[in-house]
Amino acid sequence: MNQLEISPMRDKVAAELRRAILYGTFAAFEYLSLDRLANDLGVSKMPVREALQILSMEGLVTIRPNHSAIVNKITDDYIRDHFDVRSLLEQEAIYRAAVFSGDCTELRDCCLRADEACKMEDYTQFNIYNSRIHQIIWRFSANQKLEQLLSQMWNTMHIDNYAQKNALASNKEHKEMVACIVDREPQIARQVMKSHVDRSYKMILEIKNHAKDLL
Amino acid sequence: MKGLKQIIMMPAREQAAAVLREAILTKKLKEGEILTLSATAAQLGVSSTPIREAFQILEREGLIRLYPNKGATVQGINRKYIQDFYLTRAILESESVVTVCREKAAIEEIIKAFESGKSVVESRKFAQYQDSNQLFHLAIWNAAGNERIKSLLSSLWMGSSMGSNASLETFSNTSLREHEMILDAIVKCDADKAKDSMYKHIIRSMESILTRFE
Repeated sequence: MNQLEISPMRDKVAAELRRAILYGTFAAFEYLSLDRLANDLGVSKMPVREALQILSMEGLVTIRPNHSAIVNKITDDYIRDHFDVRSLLEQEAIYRAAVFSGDCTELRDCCLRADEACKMEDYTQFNIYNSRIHQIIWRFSANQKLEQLLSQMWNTMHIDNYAQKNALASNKEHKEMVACIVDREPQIARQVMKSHVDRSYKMILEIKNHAKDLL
Repeated sequence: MKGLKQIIMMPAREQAAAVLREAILTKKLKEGEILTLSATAAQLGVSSTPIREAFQILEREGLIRLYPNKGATVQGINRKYIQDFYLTRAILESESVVTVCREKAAIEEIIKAFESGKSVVESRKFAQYQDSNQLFHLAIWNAAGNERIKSLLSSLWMGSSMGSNASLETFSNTSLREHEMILDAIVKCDADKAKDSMYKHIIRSMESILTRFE
């Protein structure tokens, strides 16, 4: 049975606001009123206030004295900084995973199911297996702090994959990573992970800079 | 304004989080202990807003559990938690010095922070060393210029990494000596040596903290 992650309301609110900022639904320097957001999202003010706090720590908004917020300009530098760090930590995690090499049955299974989902064009399923694969690799790093930071970063800037070509290529890399963990090849695992994260980076830059054309 | 330099400080919430984090990690605050917003704010001499934010930060790190009435209880931590914490910090701190060397970033602030630590030690005002220590690391994060690494490292800051076996004097001397090696490598733009010295500096801090867990 899969573990169910129950995320508190503030995290859900934060995720929704993040998406809106990244996709440009909220413009740079737009004023976000606490009442208005709570009303639009259909939740009470407290989780919205806490969510804005989280986004402020991530550099996405600036909190105003009355607990409302202003949307920061999301620059390409901001996204590059994020992916530089994520790449560093993901590489470290898979390096450690390949050194310790745990039981890869579940990882293999997730890769297979992700492929199936891809062929059926069921991207909701694909995205579930995609995040599951990464979660298992983080756990294999046997470093809870690393796992926690990676999970935090994933939530900060993750955009689901809805293009078959991208999804298949991404899952091909997942399978290579699993092979590296099984064969205890930490250096190669690092390289595969590096290009894998780089793919997400380019995808997000693309979305950010062309979101208006897509919407 | 002309001639005025921005004052580099961590925000109040992060400073409060760092103080509480250190207290939990060094077991000054024990598992199960109850923290209230008002008492903690009064003790640290700040308003309750940064404390509320600090509680949120620490909850995300699994160090405290928050209750709806806004009180919190301290969660238990063990040696493994400390090791994971410092190894992760070592990865990020090492990457920062590598970036400083690679980008040939401006290092005046790092030098200044080092000199301030040096004069604190020379005048034997060891109680002030902690501030210089923080400035030194902060200056490196700023020079590296990656805002994301900076915010993660702030969340991994816990103030002095003093073991139960060291005096403030020994701690300051050791730390300053290591900072000198790191700075020397940075000045020479020797990324490998800077990375190695920084990694060892953090791991040595970890071993020092772990003496509190014996």
